[in-house]
Amino acid sequence: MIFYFNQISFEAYITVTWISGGVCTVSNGNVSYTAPNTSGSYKFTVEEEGTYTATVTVGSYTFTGSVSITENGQSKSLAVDCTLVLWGSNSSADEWSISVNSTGTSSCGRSKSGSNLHAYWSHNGNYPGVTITGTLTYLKNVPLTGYKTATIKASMSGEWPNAKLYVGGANVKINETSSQTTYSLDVSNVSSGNISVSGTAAMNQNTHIYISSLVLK
Amino acid sequence: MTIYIDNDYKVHLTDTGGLTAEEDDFFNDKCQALAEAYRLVPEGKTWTREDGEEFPGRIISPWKDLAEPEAAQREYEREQLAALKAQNADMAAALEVLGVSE
Repeated sequence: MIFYFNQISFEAYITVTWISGGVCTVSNGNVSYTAPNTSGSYKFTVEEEGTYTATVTVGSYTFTGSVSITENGQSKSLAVDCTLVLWGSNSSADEWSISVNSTGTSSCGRSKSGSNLHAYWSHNGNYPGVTITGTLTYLKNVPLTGYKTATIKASMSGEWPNAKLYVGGANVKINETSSQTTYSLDVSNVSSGNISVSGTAAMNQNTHIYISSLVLK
Repeated sequence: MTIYIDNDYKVHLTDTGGLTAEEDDFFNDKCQALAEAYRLVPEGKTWTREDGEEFPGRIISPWKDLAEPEAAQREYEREQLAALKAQNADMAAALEVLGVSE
């Protein structure tokens, strides 16, 4: 005699997209699934209903997104936003360092001014022909792989207003303007390097820059 | 340093015809392989990426992976250093012939 058991099975699908290079895990609190690759897209098969949270780990950063599975056979998509905010209204100026390449002839500083990151570098004293370079550097290690665009919103003033945003080996010029202006930089082929804003100043001249946002997407 | 850009704003170190000259210190001391791995979008121009995102200049950004060009750059710097050492040795030998010592 053969007995047939009516097996109750549940199978639903969550297609998650995230930034390539990140590790993606999906969990409903009971069961976790990890994508077998870091390509940035994977179709997970889940065997329970519930709310699933996708957690993407990129270096020391984590990003999350949620989706609800309610029916057997259901198929849902979830795009995890992995936007990396390097400067926003909640950021701290302590995450940045500032320096100039010449001591005794120059000064520099950085602070949070309202919601902006204010940085300046000044070339003081009677040193004709000497040009200094001021550099504002993001102190955290940023995983650049997978990110395609760096976007900075900034204004700039001073007697010698010139600066560039550097992301690894790429840079974009920031223009002299008192209004907050957005600049975008293609970083899709940049995999490593520091993130900084750097410019020069001649004798008795200075640069002030006010950054209201800086993000990687 | 003078470089030349094509219609896609890719950098070339020599003008093969129809290219636009640009000046930028960024390319100083870079070997050909590394310099030509970059794109330079001049001020007033805009480059559009394949996904449609637009990037107004002035921008300098790699258009391809830099692993191989950076390896070429390290080899170029080794060659430059070796040439400099040889030059120094020649100068020291010449000074010795002239009877000049440290």
